[in-house]
Amino acid sequence: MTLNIVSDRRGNIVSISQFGDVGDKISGITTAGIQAEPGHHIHEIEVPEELGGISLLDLHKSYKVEISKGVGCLVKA
Amino acid sequence: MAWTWGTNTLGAGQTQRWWLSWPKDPGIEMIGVQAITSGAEIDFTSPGIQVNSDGSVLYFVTIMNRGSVPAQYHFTGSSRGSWVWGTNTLNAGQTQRWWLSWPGFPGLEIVEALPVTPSCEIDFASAGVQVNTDGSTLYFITVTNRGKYAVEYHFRGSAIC
Repeated sequence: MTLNIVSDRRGNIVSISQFGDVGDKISGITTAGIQAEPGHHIHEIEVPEELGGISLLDLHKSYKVEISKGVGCLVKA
Repeated sequence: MAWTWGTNTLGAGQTQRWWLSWPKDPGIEMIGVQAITSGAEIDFTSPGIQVNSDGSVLYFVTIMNRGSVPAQYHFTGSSRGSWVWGTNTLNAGQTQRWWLSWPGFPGLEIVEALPVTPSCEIDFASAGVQVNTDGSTLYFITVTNRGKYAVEYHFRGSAIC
């Protein structure tokens, strides 16, 4: 599962997004994005399978973004 | 399905913020005003939505009487089928400007942010549209979490013409 995550400079999560149609009707949207506010960073993060069962809101509340070798990953806050 | 609801008055120069409540999600709603008093300009915006823990849904509407006399009006609106796209979270008090991309022009899209988390108001405004050289179309939408907690929401929309 790929998530688009916006964090502040310290890695605190501002928002998490999972792209794609949710309902039965097809939107036709091919892609989307967020224009980051000053001081915010956008990360595209492949979330490990073990986190796949956690709701986005629980991830949001419990995790932060850590940058390792230029790659962002989710770690427990 | 189109509807007209309530008969209200508002003094000259006055602004009121309303909430209209549905017992459950009515589907995407487009809400405006039918002015009754002749010559009175009534401005309106529908800034946001809140889902409550009992499943009821509030649409917020702000009304302003720009005329020089008290004005009478109805609320009027329409609900329709819609698509739902993306699952997103946003911190309390934060605003984000999004773009949603279609491969061509999808028609006039009405887009709103539908909260999943109860008791948090999400405000949104569809600011504009852009067509790119490859024919793709971007719709811009600004989303604000007016609640006290992080909120989860979807985008919901419908091509109306």
